[in-house]
Amino acid sequence: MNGVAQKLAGTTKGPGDTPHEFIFISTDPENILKHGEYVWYAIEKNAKTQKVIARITERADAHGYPDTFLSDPLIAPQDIAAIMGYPREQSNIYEISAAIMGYFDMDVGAFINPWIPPLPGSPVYFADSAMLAEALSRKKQNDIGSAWIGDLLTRDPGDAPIIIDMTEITSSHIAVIASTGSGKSYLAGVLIEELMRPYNRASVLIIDPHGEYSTLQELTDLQEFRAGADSQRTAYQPEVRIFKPAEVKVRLSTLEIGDLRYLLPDMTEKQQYLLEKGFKKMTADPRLKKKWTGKDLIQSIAENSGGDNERDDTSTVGALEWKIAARFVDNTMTFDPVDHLDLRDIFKPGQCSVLPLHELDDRNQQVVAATLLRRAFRARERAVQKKEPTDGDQNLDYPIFILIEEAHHFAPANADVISLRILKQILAEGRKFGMGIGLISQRPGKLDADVLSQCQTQCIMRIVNEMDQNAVAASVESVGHELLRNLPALSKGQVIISGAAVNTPVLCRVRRRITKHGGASIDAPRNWVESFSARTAAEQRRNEAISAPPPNSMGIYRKRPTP
Amino acid sequence: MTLNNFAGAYGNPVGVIVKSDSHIRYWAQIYNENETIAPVDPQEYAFGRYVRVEYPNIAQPRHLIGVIYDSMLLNPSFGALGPRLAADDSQRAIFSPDYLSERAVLIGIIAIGSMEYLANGEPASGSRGKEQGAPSFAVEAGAKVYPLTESEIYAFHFYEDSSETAPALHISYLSQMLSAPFSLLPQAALRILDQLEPMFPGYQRHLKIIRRNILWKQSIEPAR
Repeated sequence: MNGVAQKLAGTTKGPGDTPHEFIFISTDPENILKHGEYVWYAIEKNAKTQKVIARITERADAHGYPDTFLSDPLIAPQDIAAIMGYPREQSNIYEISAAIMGYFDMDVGAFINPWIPPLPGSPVYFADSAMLAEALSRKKQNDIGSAWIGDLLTRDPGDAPIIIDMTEITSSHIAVIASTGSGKSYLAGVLIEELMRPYNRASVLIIDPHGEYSTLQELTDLQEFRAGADSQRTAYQPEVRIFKPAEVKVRLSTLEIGDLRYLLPDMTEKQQYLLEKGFKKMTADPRLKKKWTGKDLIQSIAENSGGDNERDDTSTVGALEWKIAARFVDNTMTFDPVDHLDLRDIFKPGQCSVLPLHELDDRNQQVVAATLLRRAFRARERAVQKKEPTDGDQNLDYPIFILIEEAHHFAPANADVISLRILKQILAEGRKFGMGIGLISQRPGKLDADVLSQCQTQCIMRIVNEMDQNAVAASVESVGHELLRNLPALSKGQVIISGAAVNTPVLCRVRRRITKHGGASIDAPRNWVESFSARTAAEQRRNEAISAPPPNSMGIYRKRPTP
Repeated sequence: MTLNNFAGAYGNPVGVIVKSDSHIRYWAQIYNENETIAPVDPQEYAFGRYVRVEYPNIAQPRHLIGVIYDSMLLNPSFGALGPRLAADDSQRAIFSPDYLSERAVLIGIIAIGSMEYLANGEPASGSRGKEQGAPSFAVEAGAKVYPLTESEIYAFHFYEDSSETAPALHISYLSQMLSAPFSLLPQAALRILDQLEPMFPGYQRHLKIIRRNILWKQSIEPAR
C-alpha cells in the first residue's frame, strides 16, 4: 500500500455520533470527497504504522449561507459573502463524517477495527485506487476463484476493480436483489461469465423461468473464455448447453410423496391417505420402485383401497384416479416413467447449463426445480461422504453452482412451495457438500426471509419499493444502514456488494458484459411502429392485388385473360 | 434619506472626540453655537452617517472611518429641581449662561476602518490605502470629526484592484456591526445600505439580499 504520494483530504475534528465514526473538515477543492468515498488515517500498532480506512457517510456544508443569500438565483451567495468580507475562494468548508472500517490485516485477510478514532487535528488522507483495489477485494484479477464484477463506483472505470471471491460464493451462496430494470440479470450474466472464465471453469446450472439466458451461448466462441494448455492446466473452452423445453423431464420415480401431494392439490384427508398407502405399496415393489408410471400408481391405489373394514372407497379412488391421470398419464410433457435430465449432462466442469422452464406451469416449474435440486444435493452429499448411489443417479465428484432466477417463485415467503424445503436444506448444508446457490429476485419482500439471510454474499441494486427495502434491511446484516439508504438512489448497473465475498461492503459499478445481454426490456413503441408498418403494407398489397374472377356455374375457375 | 441630504460644509468638522467605550466605540461632542461660526447642521451628524476622525499623531495622513450609530444629550440642569432664576432659554442667557454652554449633543461612533488621504485631501486610491473592520489605531480625545462626502464613501468601499471575478464592492465591517450587542447597530446598517445602493448600481441585487437578511433578522425573527 506504500509508495504512492499521499493526498491530504482534511483535518480531523473529532469523534462522530457513533463509536466507529469520526468527523473531519475539508475544503475539498477538487470535489473528490464524495459520499461513499474512502479516506484513511494513520495509527501506530505494534510499532508499525497502519492505515485505517474509513468510508465517507455524510457530507455537510460547515459554513452554510443564510437562506436569504440564496434567494436570488442570479446572485451567487459567494459574491454576497465576498462583499461582506469573506474571501470567495474559502467559501466551501465541509464537515465530513466517515465510518471507520479498519486497517487491512493481510494475515487475517480482513479489516481490523482499531477502535481508535483519529486524534483531533490529525491529518486525513484520500485513499488512492491502488490501495483500495488491494484492500476491498478478496482476490487478485485472473486468480483462480476470482470474479471481476466491476469497479468502485466513486472512482473512474478501471481505477479500482472489485474482485469478489468465487470460493465464498460457491460455498456460502449469493443473492442478487434488485427492482426490475435495474440490471440484475445483467449482473447475473457477468457472474456467469466470470464463472466460465478459464480461471474458474465452473459447473453451473441456471434455472431460468423466462428463457432469457440463451445469449450466453456465444461465450463458447469468444477468445476471452478460452485458454491454451500450460504446464499446470489443459486447454479450455467453455460449453454452454441450453436445454430444450422438451428435454426438461422429471422421472416419476424421483418424485416423493410430498411432491405428489403438492402436484395433486386440494385432496381430501381420505384421498391423501389412499394416495400415501398406494404409493408406499408401489415403491415397496422392487420391480416398480425405480420405474413406475401413472397407471401403476392408479392401480396400486385401487388395489390397496377398501380392504379390511369393508368401507366403500370407490368414489374417493375414482376422484384420485382422475387427478393422477390428469397430471401424470395424460400430461406426459414433464413427467416420464423413464426419461429425465441426467445430472452428468447438466453438471460438468466448464459447462454452463440453462434450464428454460417458461413452458411449464407454476407448480411443474417448482417440482422440476425441487426434484433437480434434491437429486443434485444427494449426488454431492454421496460424493463427499464417499457413498455409492442407490437411487440410480450418478454421484457428482465436483462442486456445482446453481443460479435460480425469479427466486421468490421457488422460495416464496408465507407460502408452502415444494422447492422451498430443499432450497433451505441446500442453503444451510450446501457449504459442506460444495453446492452453491445464487438467488436472483426482484421482490425480496416476497422471498422467504430465512432463504435470503442464508445467502452470505449480497448484491443489492436499486430498490424503490419500501416493503422490499425493509425486507433487505431485515435479512441482510452485513450492509450498514447508511449504505442501504442509498438503495433508491442507485442508478442502473450500480450495486452494493456485501458479505463473505468482499472484505467490506462496497458500492460498485458493474462492468460491461462480454456476451450480449438477453434480459433487456422490449422496446414496445418501436415494435408497435414496425408491426404497424408491416401490417399496413400487407393490407395495401392485399388491396392492390387483382381479384380473381368468381368460378363459373360448374365451379371451375377460369384463367383471367391476359390484358 | 439620500446622500444628497448630506450636502454640507465639505471639510468642516462637526465635533470632537470626547470619550471612548472601547477600541471601536467613541463618543464625540457636536460643536455648539459658541464653538463654530455657523451652527452645525443636524444633517451632518444624522444617525447612520459616515464620519472620519483625524489621527493627529500618525505620519501618513490617515483617518479613522466610522458610522454614527447613537446619540445622547447632556444637560447639567437635568435633575436640578430647585427654584430657578430663569424660566426659559432667553432668560437663562442672562441669568445663568453656563447652563446653556454646558448643554451638549454627543454622538456615538462605531469605528469601521481607516483610510489614507493624499496631500490634496482626496482619499488615496487602491485597496492598500484602506482597511475595513476594527482599525489598527485608536484616535485621541479632542480629535476632530468630519462628515464623509459621497466620493469618500465611494472610495472607502470600492476596491478597484479586486480580481475580475470578485466583487469590487466591499462592506467587510457589516458583520462587525451586526454582531455587536447594540440594538441600534442593525438600524444603522440599514441606513448605510440606503447610502450605498445608489452609489453602486451594479450591486443593487446584492445589497438588496443583504438588506433582506438584516430586515428578516430585525423584524420577523424576534416575532417568531
